[in-house]
Amino acid sequence: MSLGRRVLADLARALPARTCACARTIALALAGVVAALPVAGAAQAPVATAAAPASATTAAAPAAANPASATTAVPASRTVTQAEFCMAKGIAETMPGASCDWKTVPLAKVWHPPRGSAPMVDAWFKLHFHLDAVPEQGLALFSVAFNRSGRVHVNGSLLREVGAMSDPLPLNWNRAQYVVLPALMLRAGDNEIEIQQRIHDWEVGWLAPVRLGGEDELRPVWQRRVFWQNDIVRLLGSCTGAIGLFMLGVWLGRRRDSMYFWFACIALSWSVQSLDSYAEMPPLPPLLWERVVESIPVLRGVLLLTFVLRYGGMRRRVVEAVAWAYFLLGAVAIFSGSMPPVGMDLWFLGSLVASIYILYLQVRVGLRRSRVEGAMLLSAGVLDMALSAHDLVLFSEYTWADRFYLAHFSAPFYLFVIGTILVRRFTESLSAHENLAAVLEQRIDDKATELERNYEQLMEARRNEALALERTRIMSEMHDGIGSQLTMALSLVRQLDREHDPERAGEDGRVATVLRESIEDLQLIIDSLEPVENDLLTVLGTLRYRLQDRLGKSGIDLQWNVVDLPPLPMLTPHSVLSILRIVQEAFANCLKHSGADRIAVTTGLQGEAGVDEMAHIGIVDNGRGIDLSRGAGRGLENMRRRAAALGGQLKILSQAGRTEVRLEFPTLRPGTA
Amino acid sequence: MPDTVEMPLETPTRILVVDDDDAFRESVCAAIARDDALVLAAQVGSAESAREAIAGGQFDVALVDLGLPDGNGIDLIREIARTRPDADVMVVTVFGDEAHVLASIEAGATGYLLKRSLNDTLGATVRELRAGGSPISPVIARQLLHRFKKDSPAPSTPAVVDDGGLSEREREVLLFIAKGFTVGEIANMLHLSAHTVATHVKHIYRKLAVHSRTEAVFEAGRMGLL
Repeated sequence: MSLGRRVLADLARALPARTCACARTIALALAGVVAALPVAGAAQAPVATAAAPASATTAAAPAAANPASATTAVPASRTVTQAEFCMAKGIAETMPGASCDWKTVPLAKVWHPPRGSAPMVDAWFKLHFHLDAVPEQGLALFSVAFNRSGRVHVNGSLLREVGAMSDPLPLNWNRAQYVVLPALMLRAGDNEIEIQQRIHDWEVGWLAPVRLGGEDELRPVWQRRVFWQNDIVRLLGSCTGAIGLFMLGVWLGRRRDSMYFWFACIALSWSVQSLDSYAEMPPLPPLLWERVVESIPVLRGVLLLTFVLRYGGMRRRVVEAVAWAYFLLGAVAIFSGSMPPVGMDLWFLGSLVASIYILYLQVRVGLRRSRVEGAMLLSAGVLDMALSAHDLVLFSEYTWADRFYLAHFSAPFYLFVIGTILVRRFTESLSAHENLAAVLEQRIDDKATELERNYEQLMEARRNEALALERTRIMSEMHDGIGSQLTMALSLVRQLDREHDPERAGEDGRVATVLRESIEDLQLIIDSLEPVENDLLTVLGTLRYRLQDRLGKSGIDLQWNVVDLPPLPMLTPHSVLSILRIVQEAFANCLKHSGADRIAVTTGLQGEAGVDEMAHIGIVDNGRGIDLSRGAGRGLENMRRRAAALGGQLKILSQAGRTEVRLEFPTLRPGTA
Repeated sequence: MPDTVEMPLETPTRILVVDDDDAFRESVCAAIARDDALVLAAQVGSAESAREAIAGGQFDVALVDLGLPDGNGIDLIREIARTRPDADVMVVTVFGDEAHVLASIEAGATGYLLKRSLNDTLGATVRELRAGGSPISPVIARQLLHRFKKDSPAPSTPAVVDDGGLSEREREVLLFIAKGFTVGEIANMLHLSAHTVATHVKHIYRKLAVHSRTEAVFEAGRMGLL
């Protein structure tokens, strides 16, 4: 039972008299909406007092047709709506006689034993009905509400017990009862069913109207009733329990997110409370169990509030403290047995009002994340309140005839909504975590690449430094050693030449030429060691700078038709020397043989970087051209060899008035992609 | 008399020659003698006698060999730059390599000559130098760009008044030279006279020298020497 039944019964009786008449109206309106839902369809068999005479007349027809037979076919069902009633002072194992205060009462009958009279109190009902003939299969007895335990006697003989009769009494308040009265115990004419009921002195007994009819008719009604009223609640209770335990596990693995804990508590409280609707023997003694069940609804309100605040990341310390204090105060009063009925009413009423605030909070929190979430929480909350209100109305109407409680049906939906939200949140944070991991991985990769690059740069710098040191050493060796000596020798020879033949001053003799060429070759080697920073144009420019005077003297117009090139890492001293030698040789050929008066130097790139990119250098003159048919000279051979060493090739495109010596070599640059 | 207007250098340029190679010195002297615009101030074969000549101060251009038996030519260049700021120093090298030339320029040299071609180029180079233009090779241009680029963020030396950075035009000139263009071609491209381009180079040399000096001062200050 989702709300403390006795207490709510009190509350319901009190409602119209108190100031909350409007709350009752709202509750009734909500209940009307809920009653329209198909889920309530199971609660059939409306109690109609008119049914009895109707069935009696229809049952009379076959009996009259066959009066000789003792037994006959099952008549249509009838409903017994009144009984003789007598409440004993305690346990009354046999039916009290006339000394008891027998009264004729309408069914459903609710009876209140005087408090503290005896631990358990019995009451007896006598139901009369007439059979024209005894049906062969006997009669089925069905009552939608029977509290608490009892026995059924037929015509003075005990038929069977409805639950155990000794303490602890089974929990039957939400269970319909079905008993088959065998044909042997029935008789044609007037029959009497004696029903003995037993309750604790602190609770209320009741008996709903009793339907009598064929098994074929009433058994399905009873089974449907049991399915919807007890079995499905058992199923839902088990599910919520499993969800609660699962969430508890999640929380244990993730203590920081306390909302999982609170959610687990809500689910478990629901699961425990559902026991009240299907378990015959709850895990606690009856009174203690009653108190637990009475406390749970308010506890769950507080749990829900705490959960919503945690989930929304809101700080409402005062609200939380008040809520918990409110719950504890009531719980202490209940468990100590000192809670007056009015206090209980107010306690529940307070939590009902608070649940509106909680609904507001959870919708607000939900809307902060998304509209869907807000709508889901709103509908879950509204459904819960509506179903609770429906149950409340059942109490307030106080008919006891046929009641079908619904509040526990809101639990699965509520839990589904919250569970969905939590799972979504969980997966979101999981994927955020994965994204973070991916980002981290990417960062590590980047860092590794950067480190690698730095390392390469460092190594490159070291190599360059070592190279620079070596270069400096060789340079000063050459400068102060062989270079100086050769230069000295050259100036000596020139001096001698001048003295020897003053007419030819300014022109180098044979020795002087050899010396000069040696120095020039040395110069080329030195130049190849110079820091050109991978710039091909600086390499070519250096050569041009060296040759400038000679070209000028020869009256040759040098055209610098170069295109700037990207840095070429393949320009090491070794390859630079090869290029310098090839180009110098090309220049020398122009000067010596071509008779050209104009030389153009060109550069360019072709192909794709990282694939087949080639750089080319062209030395184009307007001289008479190279006669390749005479076979390549040694100079040309050398140039070809050096070009091949660069991985490239030398092309000679010779025609009248235009000769191009073209050096092509791979740049070995990595792709730009 | 109208000729004198077109001849700004009425008095010949006095040359101081510092080299331990006798044959070379002789050959230089011969070259000076052949050129009317040049006159020999002194020729010395050691650092010691060079210092005396520098102290005497009777020269306009000093030709300094770096490898002297009793001293470093760089020190001599530095001394001349300090005591005779109006004089030009040309370093005489065998190969005109970047290491030697840049070290000399940092010490205060504004030009350099290759030993082997000195006979042919001495007169022209000296005249250009006196007119304010300095020779420069592509490798040296590239190294200068490098040097100034590396040093340009110089807020680390706030105490030193230093115009170490290059002007945009100077940078442009250096870049063209590094790419193998001649002074004449650069002048054409930038719509300047060849002389102006050469003057830029000399300015850059001077900046480098100032730059290195202030850097040395800064270094010395940092090391507690000043």
